Amino acid sequence: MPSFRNITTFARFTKCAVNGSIMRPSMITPMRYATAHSSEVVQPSGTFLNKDVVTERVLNVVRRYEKVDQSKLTAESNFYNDLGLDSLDTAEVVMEVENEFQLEIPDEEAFKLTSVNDCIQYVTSNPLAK
Amino acid sequence: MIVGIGTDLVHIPRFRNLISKHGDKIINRLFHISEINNKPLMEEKQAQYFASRWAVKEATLKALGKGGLGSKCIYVTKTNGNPSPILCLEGASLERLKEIANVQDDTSIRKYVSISHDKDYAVATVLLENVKN
Repeated sequence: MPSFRNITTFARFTKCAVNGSIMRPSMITPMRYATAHSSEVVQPSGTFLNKDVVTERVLNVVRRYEKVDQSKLTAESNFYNDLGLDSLDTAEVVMEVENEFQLEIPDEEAFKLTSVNDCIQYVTSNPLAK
Repeated sequence: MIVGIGTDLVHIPRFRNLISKHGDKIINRLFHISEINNKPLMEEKQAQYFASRWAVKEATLKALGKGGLGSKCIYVTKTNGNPSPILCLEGASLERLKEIANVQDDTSIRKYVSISHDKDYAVATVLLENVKN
């Protein structure tokens, strides 16, 4: 785990070579970091993605999954009954949806998403979806 | 009285692909913490390990006659010195077991599980018995 070791042994305070002042690495000044990158770090609450856009993006994610029968794919398709996926396939598709929208769906919610529409509903009601 | 039986067969390369693609994220999503903590150290053994645990979960859902319970509430453990796996049910799967066995608590329930694998396939069979009726 080289990266972990780098972090733990990284000097928390480093002396600047030019003027001798004490510099702190940005990782221990989270406020400054968050301000500089606020659009990437924190989404303003209450901004929900447009449903049509979400629908198209979710359909694209599912379409890319090789086992899906493209001719049966609609926004109403059930992963099991319509698309012929099993529980393992479904877990993977839901994970791809998370990646697409940069979301972390809690485990106890993720297994309840069993259709394209479930995913669309989840994403459109989550203000952190990107 | 037997209250349920289930079998499931899993293609081990599916887990090999899942792990190489999604890593720990998918394993943490699907498996109980005790299963993860007891995974084999050798990476090439892990796909077989998780595939057979997944087969147990699916076989149990078949024995319970119901899906949608989640996969973390069904898992197998092993005790030191005993090679036989022990099937554990908790939460939604335990409630379903009590429902189909028509019991208030699971003290009269015996849970049997058997796992096997050969090359690309892992298989598990689960039998649930109520010894009071």
